[in-house]
Amino acid sequence: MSAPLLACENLHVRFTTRASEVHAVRGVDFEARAGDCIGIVGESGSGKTQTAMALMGLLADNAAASGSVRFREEEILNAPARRLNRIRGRRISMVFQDPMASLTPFLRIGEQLCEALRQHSGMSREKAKARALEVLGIVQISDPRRRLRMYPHQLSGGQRQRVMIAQALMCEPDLLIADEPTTALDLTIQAQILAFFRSLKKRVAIVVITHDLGVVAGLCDKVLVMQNGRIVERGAIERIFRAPRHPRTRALLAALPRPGRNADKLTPDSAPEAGAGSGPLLRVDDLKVHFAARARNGLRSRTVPLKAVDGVSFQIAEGETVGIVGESGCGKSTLARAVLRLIGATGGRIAWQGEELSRLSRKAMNERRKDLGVVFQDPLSSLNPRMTIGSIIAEPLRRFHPEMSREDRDAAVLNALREVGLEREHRNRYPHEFSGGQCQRVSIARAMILKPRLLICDEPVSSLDLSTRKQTIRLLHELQNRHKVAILFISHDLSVVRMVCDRVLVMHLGRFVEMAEGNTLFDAPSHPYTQALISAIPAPGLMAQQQAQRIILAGELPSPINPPSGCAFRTRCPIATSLCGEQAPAFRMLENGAQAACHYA
Amino acid sequence: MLSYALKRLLVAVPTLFVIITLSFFLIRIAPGGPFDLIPNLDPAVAENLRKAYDLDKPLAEQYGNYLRRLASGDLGPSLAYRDRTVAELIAEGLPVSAQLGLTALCVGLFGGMLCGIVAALRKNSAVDFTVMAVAMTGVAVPTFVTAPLLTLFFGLRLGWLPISGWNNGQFAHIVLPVTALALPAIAGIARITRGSMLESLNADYVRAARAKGLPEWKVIARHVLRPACMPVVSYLGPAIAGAMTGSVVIETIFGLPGIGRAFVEGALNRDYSLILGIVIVYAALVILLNLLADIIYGYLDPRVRPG
Repeated sequence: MSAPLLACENLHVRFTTRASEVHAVRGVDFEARAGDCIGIVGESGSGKTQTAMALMGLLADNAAASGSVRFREEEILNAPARRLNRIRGRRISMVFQDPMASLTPFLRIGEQLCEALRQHSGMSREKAKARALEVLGIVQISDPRRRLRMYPHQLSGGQRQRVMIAQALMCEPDLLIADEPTTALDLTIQAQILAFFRSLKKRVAIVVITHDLGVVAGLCDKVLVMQNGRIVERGAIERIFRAPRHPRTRALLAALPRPGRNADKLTPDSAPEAGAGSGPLLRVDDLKVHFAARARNGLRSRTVPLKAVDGVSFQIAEGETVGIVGESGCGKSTLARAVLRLIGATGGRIAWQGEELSRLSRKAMNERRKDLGVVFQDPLSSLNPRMTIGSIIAEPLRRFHPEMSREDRDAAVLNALREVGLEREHRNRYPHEFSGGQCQRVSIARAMILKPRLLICDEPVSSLDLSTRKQTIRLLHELQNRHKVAILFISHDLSVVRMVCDRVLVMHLGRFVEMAEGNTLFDAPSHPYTQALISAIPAPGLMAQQQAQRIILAGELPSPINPPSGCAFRTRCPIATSLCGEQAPAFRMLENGAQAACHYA
Repeated sequence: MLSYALKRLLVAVPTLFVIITLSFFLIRIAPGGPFDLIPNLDPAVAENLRKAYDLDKPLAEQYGNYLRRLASGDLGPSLAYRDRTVAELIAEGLPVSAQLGLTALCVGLFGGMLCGIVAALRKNSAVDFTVMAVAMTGVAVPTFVTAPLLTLFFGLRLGWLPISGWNNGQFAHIVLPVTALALPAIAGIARITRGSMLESLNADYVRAARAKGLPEWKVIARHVLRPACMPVVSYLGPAIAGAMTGSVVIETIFGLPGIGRAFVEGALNRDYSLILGIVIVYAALVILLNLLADIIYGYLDPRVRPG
C-alpha cells in the first residue's frame, strides 16, 4: 500500500483565552489517501473545523497545535509559513463555508482565481486566465468569460460557491478540504454542488467537513464522527448508516429527515376546529409586492418593476399550520413581510379576521400587532445585542400592557423562559452568550409572550444545526398545541415544513405553483418544481448510484426582473414543452385535491 | 460615476446657498461694525463710508445686492483693506493655505496609516502601545497647545527651525506649521487604521487568501489593506474640515499669510465681505473634497458604487 497523502496523528488544538484554556481538538488521528473521500461529521463546537484549520496552518493567534500532520511524509504541523506556502493552495486547497464572506469583496473573480496559480507556478497573466476559464468550465458556470470580470456580490450564492471550488481546483491539488461547503445554500443548489463533488472524486482526494450526515451520504466512502474534539466513531459509510455504534452517531442520524411518509410528522393533539364558523383568521387575496429595480439598457438605466410577489392568494384558519416553500429569491420572505405590513404591498388585499389590514392607519395596525408574532431567520441579529434576554422578552409586554406591574411582568418572562426550555438565570444574560438554538428560543419566547393568534416564522431553523433544528421545531409544535396559535411557516427546506404543516404552498418566482395537504404533497407531488424540491432533500438511505437518479434542477431561479415567458419554471423544468413558453398555466384543482399551476400536472 | 458626481455637485448649490445666507446674517448680528476700529472717525465720514459700501440700506436689500453680485462672480470689496477686493485677498492667501493644508493632510494620511498598520501588525507589542499612547495624546491635545510647544522646543530651545513667516513656502518654514497641523490627523488616522486593520485581518476572506499559500505580505497588500483604508477614506471628510479650522489657528500662531489668518483678522475687523468670501471658499472646498473622498470610497469598494 502506498504512503498516505495526508496523515494526521494525535492532533491537539488548545485555545488560550483570558479566562481559560479551551481544548478544542483532543487527539485526532486519520489518514487520507489518493482517491479517498472522507467525511468529518459533528455538531458545531465538536472541533471539526479547527482540525481542518490546524492541517492548513490557519489557526487563530491564540491557538496552539501539537501532534503531527504529514503531507506526503513531510511534517507540516506548525511548519514555518514559507514551507507551508509551498503546499497549501497548491497541493492542498480548501473550500470555505460561506462563499460570500470567503471571497474578497473588492477583487474581481478573475484576479482571485489566478492569484494562487500565478503565485505557485509563476505563470503569465494570459496563461493563468486561460486556466481560469477552463476551471470555470469544469465547475459549470455559465458565461465564464464575463464572470472573470465580475465581483463576488454580483453572483448568486450557488455561483459563488462554484467560484470557491474553481479557486481550489486552479492548481490541480492532490487534496481538497471542504468545510461545510453547502450549509449556506438552498437545498436545490446543495444538490447541484454535491453532485459536482461526486464528479470530482476521480480528480482529487476530498475531505468534507459537515454537521449534516445527509451531505456525506452518497459522496464519501469513509466517515469520522467527532464530539468534543475527539473522533468517537469511524468507518465505512454504509456501516455507519446501517449500524451506528456511538450514541453521538445515532443522534446525528436521528436528526436527519427520514424518507417515507409521516416519518417525522408531528401530529397535533387535537385537530384544529375548522374555522369555528367565523371565517379564516388571515385571508390574502391577489397580493402583489413590486419593487423598483434599475435595469441597464445600454448607457441609460431605467426603472423596471421587480415582481417579488406577483398575485398570491391563500388563507389560514384558526390554529392551522401553513407552510410556504421555495428557493431563496422566490419571494417568500417578502410575502411574510407584506402580510405583517413591514413593507407595503403594491396590490391585493390582506384581511385579518375579516378586517382589511392594508387600509388601517399605522397606529391601528400597530395595535393589531399584538396578535401577530414573528420569528426571523438569523437568531442572533434579530435580538438587540445591548439588551438582556429578560428585557428582550418583556419588551412586547411593556408596549401592549403598560399597566402591568413589574412583578407580574417578571413572572410572565420567567414563565415564557420556562416554556421555551431556558433557565431562570438566563434572563440577565446577553444574546451573544447563547448558541444559535438558544437565541432562537429567546426569539420564540418574545414572539409568543403576548399569546398571538398567528405566528409567522421566516426560516426559523435554517441557520441551526440539524439536531437543534428538530428540537426547535418540536418546541414550536408544543407551543402551538398549548396555545392554539396558527403558524405560517416559511422555509426553503421541505423536510422541515413536512414535520409541522397541515397545508403546504410551493412558491416559485413570486407565485404559487402548488398547494396541497402536507401528506398529499409529499406522497404525490403534482408540479415538477415540487418534485425537484422533494428530490433535493438529502436522503441518507440512498447510496451513490441511487443519488445519481435524483432530479437535480439545472441553474438557479431566473431573474424576477426579466422572467421567462409563459410558465416561469419552464427554463429549468425537465418536462417543459413549447406550450409552456406560450401560455402561462392556470392554478387549477387536481383530482387528488391539490391545486397546481402546470399544464402537465 | 460621472452622473453621480454631477448630481452631488447640483446638491451642493443649495447647501452653499444655506451656508451663505446663515453666515451673512450671523456676522451682521454680531455687535460692532467694520469701521469701529478706525480712531477718531468723523460721524459724517462714517456715514459716507457706510453709503459707499452699501451698508446704509435695509438688511434684506443688502442681502439681495450681495447675492446678485455673487452670481456674477464678484465677491465685493474688502471693508478693512481699502482698495483691495476680497477676490484679490483670497487669491493671495489661498495658495499658502492650500500648500499648508494639503501637505499636512498628506503627512497625516501617510504617517497615520503607516503608524496604524505597524501597530496592527505588531498588535499588543511595545510598538503598538507606544504608537497608540502617542496617538491618544495627539487626539487629546489641541493644535493651539502643540504649536507653541513645538515653537518653543525646536525653534527657540534648539534653534533648528524658524518660528514664523512664510518665505515663499521654503521647506524650513513649513516644517513646524505642517507638523502641528498634521499631528491630530496622524493620531486620528493611526487609530482608525489600526482598528480597521485588525478587523479586516480577521475576515474570512483573509483566511481564504492564506489558504491559497500566498506569502503574508501579499495577503496584507492585496486582501487586507484595501478594506482597512475604507474607514480612513470616510474619515477624510472630517480630517479635511479639521485641517481647515486648524489652519486658522496655525496661520495666526506662525504668522503665515494664508486665508486662515485673513479670516481671523476679517472677523476681528468685522470685514463682512472678506469673511463671507472665505466662508464660501471653505465650504466649497469641504464639499468638493468630500465628494472626492466618496468617489475614492466607491473605487475601493465595488459594492457601494452608484448605479
